[in-house]
Amino acid sequence: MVTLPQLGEVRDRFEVYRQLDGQVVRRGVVPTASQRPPVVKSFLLEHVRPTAKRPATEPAVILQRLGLETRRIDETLLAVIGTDVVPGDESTAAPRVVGYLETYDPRFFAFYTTEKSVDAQRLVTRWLDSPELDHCWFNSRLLQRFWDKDVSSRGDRLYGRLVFRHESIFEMPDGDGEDEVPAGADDALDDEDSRPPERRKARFVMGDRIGEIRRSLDELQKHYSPLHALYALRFPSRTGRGGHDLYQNGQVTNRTHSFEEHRNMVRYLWRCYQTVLNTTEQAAWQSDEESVSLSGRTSRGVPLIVRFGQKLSPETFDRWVSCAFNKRNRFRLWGQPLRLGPTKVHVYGADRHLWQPLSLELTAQGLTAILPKDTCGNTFHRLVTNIQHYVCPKIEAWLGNREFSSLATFGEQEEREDGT
Amino acid sequence: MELDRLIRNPGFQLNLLLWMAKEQPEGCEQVRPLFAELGLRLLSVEKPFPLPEEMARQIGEMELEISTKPEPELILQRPEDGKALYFEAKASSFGPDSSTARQARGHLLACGPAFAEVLTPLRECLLCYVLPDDQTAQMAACLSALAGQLTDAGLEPGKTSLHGFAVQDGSRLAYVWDCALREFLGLEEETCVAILLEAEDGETDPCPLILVYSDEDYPDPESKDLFRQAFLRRVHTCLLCGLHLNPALNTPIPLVLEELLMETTEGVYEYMGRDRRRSLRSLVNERILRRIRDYWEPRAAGLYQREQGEVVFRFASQDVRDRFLDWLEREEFGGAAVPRHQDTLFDAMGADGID
Repeated sequence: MVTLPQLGEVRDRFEVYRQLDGQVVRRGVVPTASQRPPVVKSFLLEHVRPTAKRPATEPAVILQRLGLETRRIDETLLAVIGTDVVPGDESTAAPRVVGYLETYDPRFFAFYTTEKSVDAQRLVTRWLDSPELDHCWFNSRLLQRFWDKDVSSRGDRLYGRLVFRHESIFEMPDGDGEDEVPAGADDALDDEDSRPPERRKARFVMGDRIGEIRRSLDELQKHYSPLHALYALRFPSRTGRGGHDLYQNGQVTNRTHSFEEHRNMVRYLWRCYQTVLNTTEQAAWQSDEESVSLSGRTSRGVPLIVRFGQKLSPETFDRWVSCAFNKRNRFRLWGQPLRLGPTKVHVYGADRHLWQPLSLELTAQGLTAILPKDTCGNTFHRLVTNIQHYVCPKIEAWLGNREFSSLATFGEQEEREDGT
Repeated sequence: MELDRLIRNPGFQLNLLLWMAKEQPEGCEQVRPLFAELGLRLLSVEKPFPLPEEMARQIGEMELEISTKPEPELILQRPEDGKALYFEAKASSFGPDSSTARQARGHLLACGPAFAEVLTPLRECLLCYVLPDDQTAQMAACLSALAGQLTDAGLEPGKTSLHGFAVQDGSRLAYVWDCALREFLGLEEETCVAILLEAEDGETDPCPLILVYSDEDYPDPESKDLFRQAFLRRVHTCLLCGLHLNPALNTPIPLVLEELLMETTEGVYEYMGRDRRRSLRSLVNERILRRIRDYWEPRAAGLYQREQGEVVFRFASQDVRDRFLDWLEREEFGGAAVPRHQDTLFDAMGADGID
């Protein structure tokens, strides 16, 4: 970890960029030849969609409510102040800059930090206790779309990296008991001394030249369904070595030598996600109005429909239904299921994180969800992400009659407007 | 759950019609989106149709009983050619002398030239009565008689079409329509039937997710009370979400029942008739608010109060708020139906419950 500068040392955002690039020469610090630039982790955060009940809030105010101090560097960039506890003396806490929060627009923020991955994730996870903030959820379908439409055509000789992860947590009686492994901590190995439960659990890393991956991936996916549960994807740098690793929870880790290039990537991902979320909300809200989306006129109030590649057993279905609405469940849902048959329930419940209503039909074959008007579409994306991660790795998903992953347009809109 | 019983349930009928207008992926439909396939989109749900001023005045001066505020189940539109379908769903047919005929006359007039006057740029409309298929012949005769009465009185009723829900082979739910719909929409196919859904097995209720909340269940002792339970769960959800999003301590948090019901029904409540509104309020009062009051009054004084006819929550501390919300998350507010049109405890306390 590289210690970020003290506040007095930061004149403007470009000084922050130089610092995050590892270019700032600090008095008394002798640079070594092997010293690498800091690994910046960026977190794309969504400020829940403002409504009459829940108006938009400035990021500084949200962080203040979470007990964090901020200092303004310019109109859209804040330094976030954290505290270090001196070992052995928990009463002393040294304030220091733990990262920078940039406001991309009133709804989306990016937090850049060089803290160790596990510390950074712990910090951001704590912020997400607030119902005002949520991750941007890049589910496997969207990551696969990024691979198909963007990464796989960046150059066959460049190195890519795809991580797949699936864990069928409802295949065992105490399915909701384990702690979740945080995103980005993908190098953690199973503890050799523990006795992990027997259930379907898969984690694959494909690190190879893009051409090789492209030639093999389709065939591999046909034969092993967890290879549909894409969990992280590297976007190779267009200007040098390395790349940017995007995780399902909107974490982007910079493994290039340029923070400015990294920021461009994070902003590109933000624009893609923003398009996806806008299209989701316009199409999904239950309303008697029509909407015009990127694909043309679309009826409003269309459902999210997910079909599993493999039907769940009645036992797994029962465990999913009994666990998914528990207080500490990974799906962060609240509701009291209405049983309509052995493998069918209706839940007129809520997204426990954002506390917004959500109607769900769960069956052994899939899920249908209805999102009320003026609520936040992020709920759908978290739902799909969790289904592929924890219930069924191979799914098909639609919003109305539109394939879910096709909601991402990757800049085609801008191209049309430019006339190119 | 027998399909034959379900197709006579007004809540089930309306929800099916709504699902039929929702775009869904081919082969994975909840309900076959027949109307979406025909290019029809939702215009309104349970919203009264205001007849033009002159017509309303003319009706007021006539002896023939005609509703001036007909309320269709839903209206679907096809903006490309300015056409619309105006739906009225019924559990069974009725005769021209029944009290329901008053509403039907209103619907017939709404679907005449009045429709384009009120809902321009839509140009024309077809009145579609939807019933169990074995009832459509009697209904057609009744509508014909009512249209005759209106014509004789110098009024202009609209065109009508009869649609039926039918159960085939005990497990397939079919939608059957007549040639009037085919002609109106210019359909080339001669087929007049579509399978909407197939019941999975005898044990599983084929009802799709409920889109319009109602306290009306089919009055059958074997019925699972599904619509009422779904409505109560939805109210419970809206109440819980609202309280979670308001972190205020030692500050009154008013609960306006009308607002809660508007949120629960996504605005449909505003268009409901007086009796139906009253019934929904009674259900919420009896099943949810009274339970909260009974449980919390002895445990946390002042948490639940009535101030000027309004329910007010007030949390004295974070601990009390956390305990209350934990309880509210766990509590189930089901139970048997409240008899309709019967004063409840809360009705007796105020003019109309809490409002």
